[in-house]
Amino acid sequence: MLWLKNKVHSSSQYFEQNARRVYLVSKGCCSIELESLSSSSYDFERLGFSFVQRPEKASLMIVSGWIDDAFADKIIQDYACLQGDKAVLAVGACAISASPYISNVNIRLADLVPVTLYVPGCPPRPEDLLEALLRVNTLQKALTKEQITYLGGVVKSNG
Amino acid sequence: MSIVKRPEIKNTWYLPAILSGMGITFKNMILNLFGKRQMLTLNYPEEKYEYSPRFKGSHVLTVKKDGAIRCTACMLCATHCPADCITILAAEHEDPSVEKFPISYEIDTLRCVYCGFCEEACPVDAIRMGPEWQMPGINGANFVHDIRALAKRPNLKGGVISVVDEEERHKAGI
Repeated sequence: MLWLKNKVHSSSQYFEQNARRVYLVSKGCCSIELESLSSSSYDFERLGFSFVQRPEKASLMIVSGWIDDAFADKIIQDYACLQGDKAVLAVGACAISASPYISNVNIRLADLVPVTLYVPGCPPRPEDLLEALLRVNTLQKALTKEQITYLGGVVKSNG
Repeated sequence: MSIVKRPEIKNTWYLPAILSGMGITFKNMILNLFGKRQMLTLNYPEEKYEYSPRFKGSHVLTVKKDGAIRCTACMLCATHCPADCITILAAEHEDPSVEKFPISYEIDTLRCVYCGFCEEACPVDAIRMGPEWQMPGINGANFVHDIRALAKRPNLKGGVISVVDEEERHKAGI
């Protein structure tokens, strides 16, 4: 019985290794494209992703739209609440470069939290977002390896 | 006035409604399994949508027959760009009949909104919006595309020749 339990646990781990719970912080017109990810035409739940309503349950945060001073505090709080391997996607020209228009008072997302992946476009296609979601896991593994080696170097130099 | 719901067999029993609903679900499932109806879901990495030729994707700089780019560095696209993402460095050409040509032509794709105003503003059909959409990249990747990426990336297979050059070729009868 215990053998069966372990088998089920390991197989569920195998199927959920690329799965992520996605927390959506979206404003503006990119949010329409992001919502269409869970629609029947671009079904991203067959790849293992799903939307959750709270940042404490998610490991991936997708940010789109313009970010002003009041909204920046919320994004920093949400990033602190993420679980596991934290990853952040910056979607659209507004979140990446503080709105494309020159006369703006907005903040770049990369100034607030470490961004894993940029998805350029205004707004990007849903296929573009699916491509980014497929790339996040491999990129996150590579980044964590680099970070581990980097941290090890720091510890050695200090001690 | 008040609406009175009389207790009937239809209202008290919920099973018939559930069974009829599940019937529709299983009918669609079986039809989709055997491929009788076209599935709505796009299986993304295997299948891709084909877009129309007027789709506004990543930019393409058209080339002349000898391989040089057609751009004359008139700065109309950089002036018209609402996001100010185009930077052009112009220089004098060796040939006295040519006024000037761009040394560097860079588009910051993180700022670009893919509006197509550069394509509309161009008088010599030197810049176009291509068919392929912009790919995502990691933080710190090179998103500023230069002439080599815009005119001679491997997807274009040696560069796109402009419509004007095509017309000249047809007139010459080649």
